[in-house]
Amino acid sequence: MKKEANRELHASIIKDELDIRRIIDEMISQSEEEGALVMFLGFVKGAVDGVKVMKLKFEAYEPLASNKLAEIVRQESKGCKDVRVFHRVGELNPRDPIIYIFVSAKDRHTAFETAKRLLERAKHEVPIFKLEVREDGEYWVVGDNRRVKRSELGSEKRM
Amino acid sequence: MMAVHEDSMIKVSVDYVALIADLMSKHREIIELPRGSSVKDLINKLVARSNGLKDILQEIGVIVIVNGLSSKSNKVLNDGDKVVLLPPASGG
Repeated sequence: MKKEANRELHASIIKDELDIRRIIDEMISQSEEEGALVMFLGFVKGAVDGVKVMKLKFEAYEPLASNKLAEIVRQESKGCKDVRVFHRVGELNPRDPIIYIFVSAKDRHTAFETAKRLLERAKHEVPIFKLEVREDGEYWVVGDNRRVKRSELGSEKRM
Repeated sequence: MMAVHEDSMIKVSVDYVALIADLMSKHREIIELPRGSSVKDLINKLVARSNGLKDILQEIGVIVIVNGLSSKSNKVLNDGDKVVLLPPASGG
């Protein structure tokens, strides 16, 4: 955890699930003039386009991923008392949590808008990569929704 | 054809990550280039070996990191540089 002018800023790439209740209790207990806490939780889908998802495998390119996530939190936390972002890596099962964003601020607008900006930047700028293991094969997810079938990769196969 | 003197060449390490590692069927290799070569020259050399990489560059795009910093195609490479090719992020 990093204290910055009486503010709490945190960014981590983690393996294990978090105790959400403990973090929310801690953030509220450390608040003073704040009255809003927004939490976003992204979790693994059970199916994509009607096809069952078995697992999502996340890999981060470190230390770039941790450094980038920390930079985003520093840049996007203006006006907020306490901002904490965690992204999980490793093999996750359907309905497992992936990304947690916690923001506390004096007002709800700031908290909601900050959480939204943090989420969009974390998804698009942090070098974390997602392999979707489905009933019909393995797919690299690129950007928001594009999928590349793993068995079709390899220079010979695409020539 | 003239022989290229050893000093006129540089070696850079290239890391392939995620989808690109699958595409290149390896995670790392050392590439030799003429001194003064840019990131673009490196990519052209790799594309000449892999039509798959060419397709990915055109369809999806690749992020190039040199010595830990995001780099443009005109950046000149030096002997011993560490280059990383990343696909677009897909976190969350």
